[in-house]
Amino acid sequence: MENNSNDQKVIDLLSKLKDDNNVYPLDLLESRRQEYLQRAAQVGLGIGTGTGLKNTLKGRWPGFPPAAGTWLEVALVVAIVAEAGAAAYFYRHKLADLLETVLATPGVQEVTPPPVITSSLPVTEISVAPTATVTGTPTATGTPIPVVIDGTNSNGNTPGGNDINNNEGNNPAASTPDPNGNNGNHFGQTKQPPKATKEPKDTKVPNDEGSRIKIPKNK
Amino acid sequence: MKEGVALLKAAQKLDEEALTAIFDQFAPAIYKYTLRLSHDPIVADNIVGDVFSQLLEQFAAGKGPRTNLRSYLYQTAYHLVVDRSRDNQHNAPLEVAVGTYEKGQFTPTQSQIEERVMMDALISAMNTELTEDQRHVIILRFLEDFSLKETAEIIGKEVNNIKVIQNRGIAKLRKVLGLQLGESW
Repeated sequence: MENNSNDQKVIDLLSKLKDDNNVYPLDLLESRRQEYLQRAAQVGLGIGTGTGLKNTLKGRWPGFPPAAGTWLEVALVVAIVAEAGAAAYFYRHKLADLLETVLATPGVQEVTPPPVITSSLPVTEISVAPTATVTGTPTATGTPIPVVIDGTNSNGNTPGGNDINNNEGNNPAASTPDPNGNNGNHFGQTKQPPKATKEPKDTKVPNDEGSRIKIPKNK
Repeated sequence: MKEGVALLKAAQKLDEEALTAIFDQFAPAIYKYTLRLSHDPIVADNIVGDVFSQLLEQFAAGKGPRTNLRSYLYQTAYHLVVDRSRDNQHNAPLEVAVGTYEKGQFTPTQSQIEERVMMDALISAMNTELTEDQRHVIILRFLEDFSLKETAEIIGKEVNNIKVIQNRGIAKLRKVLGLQLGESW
């Protein structure tokens, strides 16, 4: 019982705390109020439109039953499907062509070998003409000593007994295609040197001084 | 001015007059309540702005209070204060909030001096002896005049739990004040 009376004293004291002077400062209150009213106006405008749209979508028009919204939704879906079907019917040929084009295009590209063309022209072989290579031998006098690789001496003998001309048939100097079947080769038309019945008396091998550089003709 | 449920229904339809009336009616009280808890006029003002901003958003979303607008506003303010205090880990003393009471009511009479001594002891006890829940319940029940049910709704606890919290808080205050003020308690 004593506790209850003391509790009431505490409660009375607490109630006196209500009378404090903590009031909302007028400047803060006014600025907060203006901000609140502006926000309320913005929200009211935006939400008013949004609510109207939502109600429209949900079929909550005044005077319309709730089922009208469902029927309207079904009618819209049917109309969209019908329109799509009609468009597909009118453009069926173009659609068929398009499908055909799309389906006919192979996914993998086929590679065909190039056609073999049979030509009446003979195949010409391009060979490199024999050239004379001049190698210089450094000497004390500084004069290069030419060496004749392909050639014969004035007597038709091969110097040193080596027949270098045996390569003549293997290396025809035909670098251009022969016109009219004439490739420029004249085999067998060259005059043969007269065969010596006797060995020449002068078997002396000409020295280097008497030799001349002879460049083989391009036959 | 519209009253009660009519005001609330008008505000739910975003009626500007009703929204203005709600602010004018409840903003000073919310400010005083949050100032008691936050002890900072700027923080209290910001919380008032947040409370009414959330109210507008709720109305705009078709939600918000249906019956007790005052409890709803205090509940919002309570949660904002609690969230803010958790964020700041700020525990300012309550005497800042009630200090103006002393300045305004101070008179050099003997009875007022005795009352001031008791008030100082009470405020000190509320700040130091009560738990967070006890302080909230005491303020809502005896400074804001909410019922047990409304206090339970604001804090989010059962009514019986609120009763227990309130009784323990009062007992603690009585004990502290009795020790400080002598045998008369």
